[in-house]
Amino acid sequence: MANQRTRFVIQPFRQNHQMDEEYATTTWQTLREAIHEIHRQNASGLSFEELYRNAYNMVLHKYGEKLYSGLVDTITEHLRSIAAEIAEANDDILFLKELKKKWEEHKLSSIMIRDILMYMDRTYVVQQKKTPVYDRSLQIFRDEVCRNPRIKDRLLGLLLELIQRERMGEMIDRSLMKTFSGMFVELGRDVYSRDFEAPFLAASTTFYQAESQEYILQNSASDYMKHAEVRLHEEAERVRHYLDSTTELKIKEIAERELIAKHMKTLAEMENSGIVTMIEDSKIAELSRAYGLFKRVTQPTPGLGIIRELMAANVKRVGMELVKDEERNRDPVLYVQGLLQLRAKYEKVITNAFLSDKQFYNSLNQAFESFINVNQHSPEYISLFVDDQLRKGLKGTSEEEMDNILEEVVMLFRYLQEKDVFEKYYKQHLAKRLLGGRSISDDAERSMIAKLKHECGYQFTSKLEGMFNDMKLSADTQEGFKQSLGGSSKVGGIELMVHVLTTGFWPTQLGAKCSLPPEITRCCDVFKEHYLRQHSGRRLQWQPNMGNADLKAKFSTRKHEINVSTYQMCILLLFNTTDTMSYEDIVNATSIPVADLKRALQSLACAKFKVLNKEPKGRDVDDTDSFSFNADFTCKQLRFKVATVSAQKETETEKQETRHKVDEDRKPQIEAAIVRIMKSRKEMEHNALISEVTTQLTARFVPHPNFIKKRIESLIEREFLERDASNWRKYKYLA
Amino acid sequence: MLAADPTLKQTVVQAQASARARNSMDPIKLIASDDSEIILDRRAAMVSGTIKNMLSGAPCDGSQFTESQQGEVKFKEMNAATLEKVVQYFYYKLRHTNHVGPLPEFKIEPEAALELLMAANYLDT
Repeated sequence: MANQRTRFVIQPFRQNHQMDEEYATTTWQTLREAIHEIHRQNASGLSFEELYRNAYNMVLHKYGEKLYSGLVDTITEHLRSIAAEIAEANDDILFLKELKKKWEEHKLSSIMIRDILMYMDRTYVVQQKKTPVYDRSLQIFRDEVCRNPRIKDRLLGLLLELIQRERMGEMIDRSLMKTFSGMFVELGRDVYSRDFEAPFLAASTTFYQAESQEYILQNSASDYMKHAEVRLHEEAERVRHYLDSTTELKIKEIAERELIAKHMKTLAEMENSGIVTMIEDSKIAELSRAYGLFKRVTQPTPGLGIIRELMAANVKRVGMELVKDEERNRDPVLYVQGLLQLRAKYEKVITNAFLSDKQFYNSLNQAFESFINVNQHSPEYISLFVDDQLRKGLKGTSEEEMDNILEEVVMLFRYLQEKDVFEKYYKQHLAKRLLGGRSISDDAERSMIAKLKHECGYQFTSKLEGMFNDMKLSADTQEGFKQSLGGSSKVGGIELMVHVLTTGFWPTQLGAKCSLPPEITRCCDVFKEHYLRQHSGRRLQWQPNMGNADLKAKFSTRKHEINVSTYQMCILLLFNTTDTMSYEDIVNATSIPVADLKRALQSLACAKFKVLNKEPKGRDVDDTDSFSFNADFTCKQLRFKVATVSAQKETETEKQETRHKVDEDRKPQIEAAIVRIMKSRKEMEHNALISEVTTQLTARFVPHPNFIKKRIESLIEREFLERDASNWRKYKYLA
Repeated sequence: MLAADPTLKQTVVQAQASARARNSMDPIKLIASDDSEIILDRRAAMVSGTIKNMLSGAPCDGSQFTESQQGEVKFKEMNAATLEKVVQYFYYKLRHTNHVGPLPEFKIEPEAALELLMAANYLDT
């Protein structure tokens, strides 16, 4: 009724009649009786209005203190007798049930008492800063009943025993448990945590400590983890069903610590069933469980870190064996397939069991990087694998499958530190495929290039793309050549097909020269004339090491068409005039480089198609051997191809050559990087410069510090840089 | 019932109307010191914290006071006029709770003010 608008003076409130002490005592007596009735659950005969009015009058007439202390005494007295009654119960279940009943009754009567004494709560309690009636009533219950020495320990013991029994698989009265945990909470958070939660957590720790130690000794890791998972789930359920939600984190932490964190090492390394074994056997379900469990642990060491390390170690070990495996090192395709399979296996594990965890992928990648680069041949082998796939391996596979394979290879490529070495080899192999017309699918070639471009940028693939461009231009040139000769590209009965290759794009060898037979030389001259007429100022240089030729040969039984390399053609044409030639004669007549000549002769005389006879017979070509035309040669096919005997793999000398070329190519790249950096920084310490250069170049290769140092020295000599006069280790950029 | 008093009659009509309107068959009877009675909607009576406490409590066990069982409350120290004004206020409050804008005036005669103040204190309104 505060909406008083009319202004008027409130008269000082005067008490009509003073309540005397005696009247107050009588009024209290009435109230006390009523409170007793309420405690006896027998309020139906009481008039709320009357009791309220009595309390109101007492408080109004300054007997609040008498009312409040009288109330406290009455409740205390009542609860003392209740506590004694409860403690009498012999049977434990009866004891709990009785306590539960009394607690519920007490809550109810406390509400009723609070209601009739509401006026006191509103005025006296607020003014005197006392505890409100209901809260005070619960406090008394806490002190007189819950913390009664005959009740407290017995109650706690029984509750813990019930929980223990539930853990052992018994069914217990959960609603009873819920009442008591609720009771502790209602009596105050501190009561819950001190009188119940702390002992409960301590008991849980002991229980799980003992249980986990015993269980892990008797069971396999996967069984143990199953059990741990069940236990953790149970604890969460327990909290949900009858404990306070604040306990959840605490018990979870304890269970996780005792069940998992303390046993992670054991679980990981357990023989025949530990996580190591699971990874090896790709046990997805078990690993998935392990992931879930270990993920919970973050202290003291993150659980997932352990699994990750194990996985990485495992990958490294298997990978290391693989890259050092002699058998695989003999067959690049097998080698790369091994790598791909290894990666696929772990990728499957990570995707299916480890929820595609990014960090696991990172570890896997790091592991691969570490061992792939141990084997120096990795770039070459990967390129050879692609070569194999693009020559024949992909035949009959759909575009999608092919794309997947290439995608996986690019993944391996990503691990390579010496990407420029790969580029070198890839260029060589690609050149062979393009010139020999061996590539089965132009689309596949281009998609591979696109992937590499995506991976390393335009620079990396510009030369490779230039090669494709040359091929296209050559086709046009060939057409023009044909037109100029009047519709046929035959010169003196020899059909000439020319690929014009741009220097720098292709892995051309400068030293590759040989004296071509006169009829061929004539052809070449015709073409050269035609080409230079169109493109004046260019220089054409023949690359006999890269060409091939179709020959018609007459043997004693029948004619054959033979496809051979340019070198082999030169040799075979020699036998048009003579039947027998010594090795030395051939060298003089053709001037083919020794290694290439030996290989060409070997493939003609010692391989599948023995067009020539060698004297003496044997697998290898010696300087003293002599060769003769094998007129008795027979073959079922009309056309056949004499494959050049070349281990697809490089020989040691070639390898060193490639290596040397790679190193030469690196020099300008390193120098360019140094100059770029110094130009922007002007001054730099030696170590900082080295690390900056390394970071800039890692996309292509990892330069050796010594190598960089040499480049710096060279740049100083050429006066791009100078050493600081005062600090020997500091460089300055000279504009 | 004080049928002669027009305002009280109005109050009762109001009570019955609102009870019907809310489809609430839950009237409460308030009795003044001279035994005159006012019947009103339970929700209106609940505006008073004291009456609310009297009437709440779980049904069908020993936790109900007589008032709650019988649905009537006797105020031995409150006269009919004051009680009537109080009930009027209950409806006034009920109608204008959550009201936006200026409120209509609730008229109180100066001579009744003291009695009403005491009643308000008593009823926790």
